[in-house]
Amino acid sequence: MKRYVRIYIRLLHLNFSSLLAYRANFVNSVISSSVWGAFSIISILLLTSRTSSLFGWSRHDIIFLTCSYSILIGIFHTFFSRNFEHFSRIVDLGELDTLLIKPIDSQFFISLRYVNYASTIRIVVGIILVSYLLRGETLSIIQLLGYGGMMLFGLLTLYALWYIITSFTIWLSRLSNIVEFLFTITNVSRFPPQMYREFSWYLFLFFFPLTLIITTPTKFLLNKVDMYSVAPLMVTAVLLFIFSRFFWKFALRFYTSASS
Amino acid sequence: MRLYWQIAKNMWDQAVAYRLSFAIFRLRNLFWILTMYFLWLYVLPQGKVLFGYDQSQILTYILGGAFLSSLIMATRSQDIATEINDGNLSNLLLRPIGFLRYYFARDLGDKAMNIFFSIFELTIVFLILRPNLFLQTNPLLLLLTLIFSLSGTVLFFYFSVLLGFIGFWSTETWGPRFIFYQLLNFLAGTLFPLDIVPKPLYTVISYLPFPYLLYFPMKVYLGQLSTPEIIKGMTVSFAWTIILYVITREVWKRGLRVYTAQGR
Repeated sequence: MKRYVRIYIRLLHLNFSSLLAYRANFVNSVISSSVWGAFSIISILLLTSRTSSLFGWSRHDIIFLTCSYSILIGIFHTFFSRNFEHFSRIVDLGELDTLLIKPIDSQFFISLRYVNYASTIRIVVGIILVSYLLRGETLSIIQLLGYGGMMLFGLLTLYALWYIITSFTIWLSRLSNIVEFLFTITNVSRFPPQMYREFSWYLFLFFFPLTLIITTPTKFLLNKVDMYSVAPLMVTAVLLFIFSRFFWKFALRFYTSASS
Repeated sequence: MRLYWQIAKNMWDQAVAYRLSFAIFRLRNLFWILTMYFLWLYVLPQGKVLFGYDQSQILTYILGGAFLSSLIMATRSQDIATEINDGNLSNLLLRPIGFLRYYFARDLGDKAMNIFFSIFELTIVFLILRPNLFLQTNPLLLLLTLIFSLSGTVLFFYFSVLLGFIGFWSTETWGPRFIFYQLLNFLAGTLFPLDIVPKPLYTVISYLPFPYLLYFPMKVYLGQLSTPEIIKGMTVSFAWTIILYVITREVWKRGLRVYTAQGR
């Protein structure tokens, strides 16, 4: 475990050096992240401007949900999504060979090799907005810890889902746009689960894990949580993570190597 | 003409060759459309009017906009920057082909494929969800919708090509393109009709080229614009087409002066 922490700290340093080398790319990413964050919040403000509640959530809660999404997706894009963007290339060009022979867990290295520091702007913006929305309210330590803890479970769920789906590139190595597809379906988590449950149970069941990742932490902070809201996210996160490890090892049996 | 027809056909064949990737791309679009559809279905229940729209009008706007975007916004011109940066543009310069016509033909092939899939997806959505849609029967408004859609296609093409031309001066082209698409989602009315924004902001936006890509054709289809508004829209859209054409030609000329065929 200690060794993995040491390796990860080294990876953080290496990625920081690469950020300094590609400064224009960093500036581009910061601007893009800010624009994306601003538009997603403006859109939800406009959509809810004439309604006091939506899917059983008040306007304030819906905006809160969007800001929480900004924090969680910011963390995810900082630490994980760039690695998934490289996934299909690694498999397609046979670069996975060199990763597999390293004395390190392959899932750890593939998932955490690259860090996108530019996305931290989304986390910062999200935290500022959440703090603004909570101004004047007194929060208990349990609420804050619960919010942080549930965010971690949400992050684990999102990571595991992305990992399971991108593992399919072992069989379909040309599926380079699978990550763009994942970016889109992750958007589903921005909206309350009731929206999908209301209209189609099939859709709701399909999106179920995604609909939990933001709503559960948000409910914790808004003091609207009970055991029935917390347990599904925790169980889903742990089960999906275990399955992602199992599925990755299973997929590797079919890795044939290419171009190496 | 036959040459450009063949280029468009090649693009279609290329999409067929990578059909799984293309299907994933379309599935991604479908998810997004369904999310917006369900959101609006709930925000605007039957019998209620919000922002001047009833449920059938807003659902028509979302689904019709999704169909139109496969005509107007489907493009392959994002490849331009890569071709410039890899030096592959030289291959094209040596051939007796007009650059803009070549890329427009490629776009047409891509658009044909996207429209084909879009019709298929929307038919499924219609059969499963049975949405309450607004059907325009006025032939003049239908004709004007078509004209605005074609004008939007040309406007979008110039925008997309200009973004590709950034490749002459920089290798970092994804950032501006990403920001452009974010702006487009907002200012072209992809996510919601633009007239729900505050009036002063709407007035400013109406003088920009973006609303004429999607919002305007859909508003004309819904029959929600007066004759003076349609004339004003046509004038602004036509003026922007000319402006963007001139800018594109000028940037192309200047870009070629700095092009070094690096990587060749």
